[in-house]
Amino acid sequence: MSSRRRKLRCIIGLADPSTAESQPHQVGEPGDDKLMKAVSAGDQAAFGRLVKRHLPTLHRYLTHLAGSAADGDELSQEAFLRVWQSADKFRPGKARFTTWLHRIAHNLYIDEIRRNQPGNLPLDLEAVDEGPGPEQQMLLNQESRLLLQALSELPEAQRSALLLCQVQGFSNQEAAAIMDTGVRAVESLLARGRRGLRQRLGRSAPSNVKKAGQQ
Amino acid sequence: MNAMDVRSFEEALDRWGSNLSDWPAAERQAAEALLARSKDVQTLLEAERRIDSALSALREHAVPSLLEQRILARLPAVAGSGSAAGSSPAAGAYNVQWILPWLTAKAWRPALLAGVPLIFGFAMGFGLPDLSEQELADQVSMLALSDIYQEIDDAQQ
Repeated sequence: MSSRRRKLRCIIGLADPSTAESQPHQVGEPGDDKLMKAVSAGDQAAFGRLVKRHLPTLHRYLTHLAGSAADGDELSQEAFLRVWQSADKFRPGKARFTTWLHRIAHNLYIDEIRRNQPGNLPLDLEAVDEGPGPEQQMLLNQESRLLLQALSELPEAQRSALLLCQVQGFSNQEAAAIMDTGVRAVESLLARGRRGLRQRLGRSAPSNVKKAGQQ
Repeated sequence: MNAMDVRSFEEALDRWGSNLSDWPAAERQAAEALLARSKDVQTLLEAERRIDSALSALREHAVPSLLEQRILARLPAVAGSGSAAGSSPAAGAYNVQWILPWLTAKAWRPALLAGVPLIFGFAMGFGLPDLSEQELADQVSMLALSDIYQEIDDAQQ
């Protein structure tokens, strides 16, 4: 899908991480809402299906957000356990399951950051040094490793907005709901995040570019 | 066609991404004209394309093989929200969580506030020492006469 089409789908809220990015559920498989209803009645098998379906995308988000595979593992576990504990609070008509799940995960991460104040440090500095983990290292090219480094240097909100919209495939509106902010704020975070990445990747020094633009 | 400068090019990049064919026609033409004469803008576009490509590469993600089992293995120890919830002590605590919101609900707040002095009065009453009738009479007399004694003391000084 072209980036514009993706952005348009994002704006109008059609982007669907649950089907486009995570393991797609087979035809005839129960949808997330149905599984959540079963989970709220204590059905562990339904919960297992949800975990299988959404763990890859959630783990990806949390690993890149926290900057370490170990923290991605830990936060993913906690997020799914919260789903298990709070399944009856999920309102199918109000939000998609994947949005709700990401919101839980995002809040967990923010809580962890606050717990590790001062300075909005990542969860565990040593763990950050450890990087994306051996499985993920195999998949990443040099460019992506540089990008991950640049991402980790961005402020948390910019990193989160970029990951949610550009990697996880959420619409700006959904990202705003996950981050508990406004759509305009998300747009601004995305623009600043992309500029931050450009600067950090050193492909364009903005001061030079601006000088060139004024000539 | 409006001329485009580096700043507006960068803003357009933020808005529409690095694929110029996704841009509106007027902006695309202006961008192409700028790209033809500016090496810096070419560099900017190239950087954006690399970012898009690297972000796309992040979608390929491997999950540790045992993580799913680890999550499911923790379930029995954690109270769920459904029927499984009633089986553990933690679930009991979860089930009475409705009491606090119910008590602090809007309709109850005035009644609770009105009840505070009443509760305070009862607490004071029950907190007083248990005195005999004679001791109580003596204490009341002392209290009643304390001002007179004070005046006598002041006059003597």
